[in-house]
Amino acid sequence: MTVKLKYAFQVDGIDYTSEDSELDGRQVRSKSGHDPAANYVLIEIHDRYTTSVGLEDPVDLTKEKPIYRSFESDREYTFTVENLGWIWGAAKIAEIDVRTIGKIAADRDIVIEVVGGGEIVVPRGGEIDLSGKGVERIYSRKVVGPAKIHVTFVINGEPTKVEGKPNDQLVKLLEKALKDSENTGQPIGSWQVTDEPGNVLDVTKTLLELGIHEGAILLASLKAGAAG
Amino acid sequence: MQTADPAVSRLKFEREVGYLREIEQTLVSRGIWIMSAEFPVVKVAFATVNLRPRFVPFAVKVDFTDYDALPLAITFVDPFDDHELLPSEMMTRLPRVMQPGPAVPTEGGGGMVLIQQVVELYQSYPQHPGAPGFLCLPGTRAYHAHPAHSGDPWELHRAGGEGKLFALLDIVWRYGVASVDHIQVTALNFGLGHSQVAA
Repeated sequence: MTVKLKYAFQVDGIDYTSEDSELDGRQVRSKSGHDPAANYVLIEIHDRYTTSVGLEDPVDLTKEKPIYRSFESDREYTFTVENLGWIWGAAKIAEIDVRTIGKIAADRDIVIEVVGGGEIVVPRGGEIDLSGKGVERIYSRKVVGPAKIHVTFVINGEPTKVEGKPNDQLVKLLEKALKDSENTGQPIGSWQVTDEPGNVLDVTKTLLELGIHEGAILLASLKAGAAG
Repeated sequence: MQTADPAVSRLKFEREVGYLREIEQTLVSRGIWIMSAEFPVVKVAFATVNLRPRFVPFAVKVDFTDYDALPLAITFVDPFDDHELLPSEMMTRLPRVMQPGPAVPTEGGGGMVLIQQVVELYQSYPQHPGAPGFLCLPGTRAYHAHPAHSGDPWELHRAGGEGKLFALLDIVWRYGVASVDHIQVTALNFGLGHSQVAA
């Protein structure tokens, strides 16, 4: 019995297979439902950089599974990230995409160098506008933030201010806040910390990892005791 | 009748309500509204911010009479006309998903299964449908006054913070409205659906 090999590729996070080991850019678009193919820009994600795949460009599926992103567009935007050439198919790119594809660590800020001088730190969760003339070079650098972050813990309703370093675990600040506010009657595991909207925070993570900024308000409350 | 020194209860009322006032914007963004606060009662309404359209399914009245010689007394009321809600009028039972216990063998003995228990923090007496329900939680007057909890006196909890105004409101919010994200409609009933909130 002959078993036909299947070759895999991924577009926009979805895996597709092909019995042909070699396709072209047009076929990748069509097989992933992007028709008419000419209406889409196809970007291949490499290790820390991206390239564009033209309609007639050959695509070799015999090596590592290629990863693509598609954009309904006829324009491409070129720039560099950490001195590597990137091409993107939309006028905006999410900060998280630059961080993920560029393998930029959480303790580094992403910075845009603007033509004519100056630079802009891209906020976490933000976007970079590639459509202007200014954006050409994107790079990262160690977070230049305040040496200390001041946080207000509202413990059982009572506000208590504490300070910590960006790389401190949240639990360390919680311990200090509980001690300062004399809430020492319960083990630390009995407390739950939420941000202002009410999302439960993992206290083993650092302030940096949690995106806790200067002046943040965190609410600490006791988990419900046994009931019934 | 107040039996503890009213000045003490009033001081604690003003302090604990004052703390809430300091974070009022945060509380409002969570759907917790202080409707009135005049000693000895603070009335707080709860809204479902994660559900559109938004509902205000209930309010609680927290009575500081004799606090903290006695724990706070909490009643669930209609936010608009103040009448105490009957179990049939409560759109949620404040469900709380408990941590599963150790795995137990299945009936046929073929495997192990984890049993997850859901505890309703709002409890009532099914045999007395005309009697309002109550928040069954350490730190509340209803809990510690209940004969079934005579072995778990208020004095064991008073210093630990469980019975503070914020702590109790936070639990009512977390299990009562924060997790509500859909409406359940049946031929006979209309209720609020919760996503699961772990203990």
